[in-house]
Amino acid sequence: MLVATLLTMSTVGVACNVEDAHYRLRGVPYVTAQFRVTNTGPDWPAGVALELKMQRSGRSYWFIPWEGGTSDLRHMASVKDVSASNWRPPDPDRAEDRPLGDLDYVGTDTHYNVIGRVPHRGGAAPAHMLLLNLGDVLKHRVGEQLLPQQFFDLVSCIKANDHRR
Amino acid sequence: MPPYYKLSPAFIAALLDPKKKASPPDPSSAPDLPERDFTPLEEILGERPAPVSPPPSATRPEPQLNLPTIGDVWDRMQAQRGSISGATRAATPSTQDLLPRRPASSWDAIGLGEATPNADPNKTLGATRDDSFGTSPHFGMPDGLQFIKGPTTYSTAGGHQFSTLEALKPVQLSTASSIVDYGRAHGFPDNVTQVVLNQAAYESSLGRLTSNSGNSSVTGLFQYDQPTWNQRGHSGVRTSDADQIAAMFRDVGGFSTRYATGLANGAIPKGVTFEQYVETKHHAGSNSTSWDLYKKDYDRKIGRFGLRLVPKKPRKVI
Repeated sequence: MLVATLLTMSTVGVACNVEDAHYRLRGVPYVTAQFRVTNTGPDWPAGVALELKMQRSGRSYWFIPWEGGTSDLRHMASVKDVSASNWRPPDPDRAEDRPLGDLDYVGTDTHYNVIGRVPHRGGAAPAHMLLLNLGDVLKHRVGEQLLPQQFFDLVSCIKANDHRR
Repeated sequence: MPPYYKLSPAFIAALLDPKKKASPPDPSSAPDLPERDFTPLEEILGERPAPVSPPPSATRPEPQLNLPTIGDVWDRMQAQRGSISGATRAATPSTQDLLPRRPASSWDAIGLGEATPNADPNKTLGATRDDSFGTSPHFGMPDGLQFIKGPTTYSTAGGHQFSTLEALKPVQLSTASSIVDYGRAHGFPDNVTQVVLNQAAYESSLGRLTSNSGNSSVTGLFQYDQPTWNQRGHSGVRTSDADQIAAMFRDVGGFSTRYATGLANGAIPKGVTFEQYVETKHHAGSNSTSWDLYKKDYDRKIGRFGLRLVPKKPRKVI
């Protein structure tokens, strides 16, 4: 299993586009993630949204990547379900538009070199992602089971459906 | 008018006391005057009538208070610092004498330290220091004592002026001058130029810390990284100081529109100032809403620089 995963990662680590990448939280197979092409508007130029699926509860949480300016940090803003027909990107100045606030994000290549940019539509998918405060946010904001602070690993690269409207 | 000697208190006391024999003052107390015979008091009084009316009951001179002069204080301070002796002090301080002196401290690590020794800001920069607008040097003081600093005003190559609480290094002066000149030349309001000036002070200590060894992706006066540069649609060369200044003015201009809108529709809390907004958006990202995350650090560093534009003088209408 591990060998298969590593082989998959090595083959898709560079060639896989962000919107085709599928991830799994290390050690917690029922937590998966994938990017969806989304019309995020000019204030959120990533053009993708991350869907985090909790397979056990059946719930999904959505996040939009954003650059952290000269701090050289990167983040993901919590948003409502981007697949809803009336979904609109949040006001970039209104904190209340982010149901779970912001997550601190770190993306790396297969050698764990940090990628100095958030995932964006058409870009190369990170091999690993770390959402530093995800477990704490999910436990204390929505009562999910506490997740370990671990990497999301790229496990497959499959052409995904767009959420463009 | 004939030259005259200063009369020492002891000499005057002796004149007033008939029991004591008057002796001429010590000529060595006036080394700049040519040697000559003692000038009688009558002659002096004849030329310069001055009411010298001794108190009727005075039999001994009043006790003299030996208050230290400013020069004495200066000598003492320098002696404590061990940097120069009292003999090297010039009667009139030079411009270098007026530059702030301060022991090395943690301020230096963030670029707020003493000016580079032997650097002549008037020669190498597009700006000059103008002491006529008020200079309050921040001398190195003995422990427990501290002067309250006042601003020093500089003139830019474009003929504009700004003041700061810190003595600027050449590169800092050049950066600040370029920003002030750009803002004025392009018609930006002074409050926008002021924000850009402060941003350069916060992000790179006015161009003194433009490279970041711990983070190779950000660089320049305003520490732009490539994603931010691209996201905001800036052309030009990211590593160019001139292009970064133009980009920052453009960003701040755009932020001013967003700020006004956000404040009006309630997205931005009312307590968030425009400068705080710009700092948040530039440093933490244009989608950040962490208004207070960097406020304390920003206020502390910017407060030490104390950069202020000198308002333009209105033209006289004839």
